[in-house]
Amino acid sequence: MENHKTAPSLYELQLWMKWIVTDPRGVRDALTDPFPSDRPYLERYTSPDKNALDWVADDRSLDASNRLEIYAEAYFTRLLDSMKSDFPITFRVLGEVSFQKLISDYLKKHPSKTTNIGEIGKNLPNFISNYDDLKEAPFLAPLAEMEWFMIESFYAQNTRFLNPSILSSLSDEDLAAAEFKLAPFLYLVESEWSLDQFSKWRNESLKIDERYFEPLTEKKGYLICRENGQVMVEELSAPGFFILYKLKSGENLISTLEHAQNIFFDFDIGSKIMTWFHEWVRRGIIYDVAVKSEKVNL
Amino acid sequence: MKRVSGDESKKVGIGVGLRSPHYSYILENRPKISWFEAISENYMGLDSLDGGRPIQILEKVRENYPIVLHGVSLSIGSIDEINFKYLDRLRQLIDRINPLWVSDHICWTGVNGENLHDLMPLPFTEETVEHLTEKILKAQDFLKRPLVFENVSAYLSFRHSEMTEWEFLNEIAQRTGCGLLIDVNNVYVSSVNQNFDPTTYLSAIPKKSVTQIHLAGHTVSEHCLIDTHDGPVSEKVWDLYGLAIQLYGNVPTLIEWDDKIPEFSILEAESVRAERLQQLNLKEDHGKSQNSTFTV
Repeated sequence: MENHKTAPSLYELQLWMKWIVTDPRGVRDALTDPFPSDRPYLERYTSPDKNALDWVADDRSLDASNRLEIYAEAYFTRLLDSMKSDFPITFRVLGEVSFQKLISDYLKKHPSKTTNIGEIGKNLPNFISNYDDLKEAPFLAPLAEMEWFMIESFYAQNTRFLNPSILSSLSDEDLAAAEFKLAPFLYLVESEWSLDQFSKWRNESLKIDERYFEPLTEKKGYLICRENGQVMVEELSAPGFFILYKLKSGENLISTLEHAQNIFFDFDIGSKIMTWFHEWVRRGIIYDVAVKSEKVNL
Repeated sequence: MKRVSGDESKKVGIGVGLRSPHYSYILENRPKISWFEAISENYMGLDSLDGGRPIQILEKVRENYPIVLHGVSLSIGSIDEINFKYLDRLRQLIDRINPLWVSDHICWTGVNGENLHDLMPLPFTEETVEHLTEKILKAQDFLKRPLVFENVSAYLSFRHSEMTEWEFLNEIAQRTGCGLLIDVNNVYVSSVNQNFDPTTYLSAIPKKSVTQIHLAGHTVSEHCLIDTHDGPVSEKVWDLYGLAIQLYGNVPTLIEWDDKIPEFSILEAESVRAERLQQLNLKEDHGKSQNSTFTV
């Protein structure tokens, strides 16, 4: 073993390797221009002072930069594949080249700081909404947000089912004043774009392009939840969305009902709510109830 | 804390990596596999979330099979402080699953709070040995159990390394009491990429340190081998595995397949081949001396 007195410390070596592996230009360009001065996210392009290339052993078959390139390629490919898998519709809308550029730019601003590779896309919807290259495709951010909520729903806490007999045992007064807990795997999304075909797009490898996305005159509400291990998306009626939204924010049943009647002017809203309500209990969307600050469950 | 040695864990047999395309098959058919190895991070959930559907499935699999937890993000070689938030979530998973043992890799996966999601190589120096020793002892203390660490495939080495990889691993095992997970495919891939003799590597690892073996496929590229885990175990690696079990005994062995995942029956066939080699090894062990005539 050769032993060089001026070898980099472990800290210097790791900082340098992180830079060379994650520089979006690739290893050779990074080595050629290690201190650029005119780029956004400059720290991603700028070499730490120490140059550790000399400390990587090479031989005739493969030089040091080619060896580092293996890690650099693996880094980007691994994260790109993970994002393709987590945002399959966004990927199909954009196509390979635009999606790769999006992810490359995204990783400059949001390098992974998580131990779970499945979490790296958390900021992608927000990034897309502020991304100049996609200003002409305003439907993409809500689309990506929907895809992200599907992931969160998949990983959200498991809950048991609420026993319906508990509800029938409550007096009308207690039921009206009760607060309900909605499952952690339930997500409510309101969109200015029609995402009615979302599930179809997820399940079929259809080509999707911008023509599928038309702005709506009124926002639509969607429910994302997990049933039998599968995450699903479904459209909600306006009152249905409103009621779930209110219940999720901790409003009690009577107050939610009054609000709904004022907004939707539907004399039959009470019976509709109760029908939906029992369905939501059956599906595990409502899984807990608290009456007068006493929790009654299961 | 006592190391989980190969001798103690011999009866565990041949396992297979638990991967999502096989969940339904495993739950519905209960294939004859001795144990499964689960990637810890896949069941620890997202940062603020619980684990959801994946942990439900792992608990169901656990009802019928022993489980080993195998992590990829402990980043024990990183110069960053140990990530106790990660360790706490790992501890919760351990409490729920009660694994046979818990493993990760001798590598770093990130620095300055960023994660590269890759198993990055370390220089084999006294500085690195001391750094790893301190962090491994802290992690074992926190989890109140000895851990098992795997050698990684490497595509480069550092000129300032002061010892060989096998000397390095032995130092770590000796100073921390951790077990070693010898990935025979990684030994082979690194040996080709860095031009060393894999049999020297395997022969230098003491039997008492080896808790587990990994077998996997790799890809032959123009100038080097890449540890892709996307195909069957190569013949060269099977040959090396034969030597490994001669040296270490019938250590619990796992078939890993992470990309282009085939039908479960293909993995079963690989596990049957490993089992046959172990049976053969057992007969030879009883019948003659253990002098190896292995060559690659």
